[in-house]
Amino acid sequence: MPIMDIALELKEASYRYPDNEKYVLKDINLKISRGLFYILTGPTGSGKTTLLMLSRGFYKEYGGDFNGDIHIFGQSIKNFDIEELGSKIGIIFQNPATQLHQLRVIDEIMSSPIYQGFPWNECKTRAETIINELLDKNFYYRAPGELSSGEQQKVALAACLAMECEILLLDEPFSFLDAKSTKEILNILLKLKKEGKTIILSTHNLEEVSGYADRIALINSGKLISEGTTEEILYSNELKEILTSPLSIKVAKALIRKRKLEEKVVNWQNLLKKIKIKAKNGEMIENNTKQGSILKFDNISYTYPDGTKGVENISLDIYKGEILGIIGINASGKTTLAKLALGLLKPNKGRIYLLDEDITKLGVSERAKKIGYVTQDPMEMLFGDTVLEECAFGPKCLKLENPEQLAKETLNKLGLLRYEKGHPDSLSGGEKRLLTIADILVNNPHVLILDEPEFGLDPKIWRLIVCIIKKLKKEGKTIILITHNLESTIFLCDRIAVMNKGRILSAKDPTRLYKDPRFLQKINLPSLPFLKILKALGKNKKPLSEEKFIASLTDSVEVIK
Amino acid sequence: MKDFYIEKTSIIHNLNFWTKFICLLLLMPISTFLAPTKLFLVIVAFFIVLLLISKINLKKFWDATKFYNVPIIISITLLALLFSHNILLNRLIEGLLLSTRFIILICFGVLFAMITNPIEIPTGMLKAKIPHKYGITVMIAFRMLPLISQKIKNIIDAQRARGAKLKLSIRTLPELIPRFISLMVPILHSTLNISVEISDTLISRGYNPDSRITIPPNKFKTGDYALFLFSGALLVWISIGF
Repeated sequence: MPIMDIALELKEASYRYPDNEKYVLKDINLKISRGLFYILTGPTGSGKTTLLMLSRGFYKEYGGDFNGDIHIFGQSIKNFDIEELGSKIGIIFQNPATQLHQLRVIDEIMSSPIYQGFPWNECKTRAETIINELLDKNFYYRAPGELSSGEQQKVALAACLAMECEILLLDEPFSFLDAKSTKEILNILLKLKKEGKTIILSTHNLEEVSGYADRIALINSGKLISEGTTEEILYSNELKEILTSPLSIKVAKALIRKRKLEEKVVNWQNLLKKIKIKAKNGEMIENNTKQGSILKFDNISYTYPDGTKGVENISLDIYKGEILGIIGINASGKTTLAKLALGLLKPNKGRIYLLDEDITKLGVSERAKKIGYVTQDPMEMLFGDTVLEECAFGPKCLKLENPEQLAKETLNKLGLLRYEKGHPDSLSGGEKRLLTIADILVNNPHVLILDEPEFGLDPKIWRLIVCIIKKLKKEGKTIILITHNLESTIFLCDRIAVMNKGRILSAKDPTRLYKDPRFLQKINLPSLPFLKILKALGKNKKPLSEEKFIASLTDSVEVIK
Repeated sequence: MKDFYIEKTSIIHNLNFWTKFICLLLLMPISTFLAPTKLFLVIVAFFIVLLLISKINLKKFWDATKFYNVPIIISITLLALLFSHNILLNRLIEGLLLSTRFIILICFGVLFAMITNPIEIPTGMLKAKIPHKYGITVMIAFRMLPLISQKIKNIIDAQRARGAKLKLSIRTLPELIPRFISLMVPILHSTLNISVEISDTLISRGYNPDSRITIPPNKFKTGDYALFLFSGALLVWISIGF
């Protein structure tokens, strides 16, 4: 292959951060051809971000020990300044908010050509062209704070493109986005790929990108484990062991094993085209019978001091022992509702009842004994010097008896007791998430609110959290799960409340909810392809687990097209 | 300042940042301390004209200034009534006049904030050929402040939701001091994270504090010249008067 057809090439690339003994990347050899949609995948902490940052030349800024070489269109990045590299290779980071450093969209997009010293008029023309192409004229003078996460990510992408770079690196760009924004960004990336740009995207959520990818590289512990076509990697044992395969691939593999599917498929859309399902068969469970209401919102409204409507006329019963999922696009009022339940916000109107007791006027600390809240970002909760101290903080605040003993029992329950003397920072991402759950669980609340617990977790760690949530449900805890992970809600939640513009539009069984694609489309939520399968499998019934769903589906597949 | 700014399309909004800033610096001391009463009344009339041209809703302007203006009128008038050596009516007039001078000072400041988009400050610094690293630093400060304050709010909320009482009172003070110290850990961690992420963004956009960057054109329009002329005329008036 001619050198100029290789967009990015890593040759024996190894990297170690300053003051760190361990290499985060070890002898990586990788060739990525021009014009590909390339996925880097691997568990949290495997080195994906470092690989992207290294390719963009950030080692020049950070220092550290970089061995080997990286070539962009045949030229070593060592020959360029980090600023010069910007016109060849652009990077989009995970957090949309901190990627915008200017105060208006137009200035943000103009910033790259300005920093490169292009004439003022050219900077302006470039920015206007890109805004008109990717966004909308209304965006010109909008401030970053006025934009949704999806819009912020689009602006970051536009700012990157203003440098007219040929290669785009995207580091977990969908972590903060809802499904609708993710789809929109993916479509923009597909368009850019068709225009000849090389897209290199790191993610551990393969289900959402597998339909777009040409090739995938699997990284673990800083090493390149395997590299190949999307199909090769999705069906590889390495992926299954290191990250777990996407559900669609698990189903396809099961069908292939039963000789009901001949070709390998890469996502639900492909799979649905190949199979036909025999209706109403298999082992499924009926809806849970509702127990009494534990938490009740009675006509609650809240408006923020700046006039933004938080929630409006919310009436919702949460039943004892259930897992209630709350879904909706960003800024639909999900977290506001949680904060109202916790007493962090006081409703302008309406009442909140816990076990039939009116708690509307009860203070936050009084409610903390009864309702627990786990924030989206674990780092917002962790501050103790040791894991034990961290976990005992709640019982100490609430003046519970023997806080250390309570903390030890809770840590033991979640498998964290062996770290009791360690610093919370020494834990992995998944363990930190578990510790935040322990922090709340130790107070023994009636209701547990988990705000996007899947955030930043790879599928393997998320499965562990799912197991813990199921275990808590078995123990009789009531759980409210605020989430963007619609697929998990099917297997996990007894009911799902859909929020849009501060209102609850529906609160029902997941399968009943998801089988109405027009309703989902109306509120900008995607209709999950595999729900078509669920719909065919049984009316008003939901699968108990992924495994039972797969077994039930493979039994029901009738015809191979 | 970000909370004060009101987006409008008016001649006043479109003035060059430096025109607004220099005229503010001139008009504030002139109206408060230097102008004789007749000239002060001209400045008051001028302020009202500026406010009307700016198309800012008068109720919004009142809402933004009432917290300063009402206590100033009451306290200064009271002080004049109690401690001045004039007859009662003169004391009252003296008090009202002095308080109006302070009110105009505040009103000019608020009007400046309402018609000046924060972005104009760093851009203005760039236009004035002040080394760009200072302008960029100001811009990043404006950008980071809301992000950090949101993060701090989230961290405090997370602790309160775990049962921590963070209400300040003499009784709770001994308990609160270590709690506030422990709050500093996640706050510092988050602030550092935000600053590292924003600095990475700057690098990824190709910014180098030591390189030359494109400077936005610094244009003055008729409105800018008119305002400079008026402020200059006031200065001349005061100089002749004295």
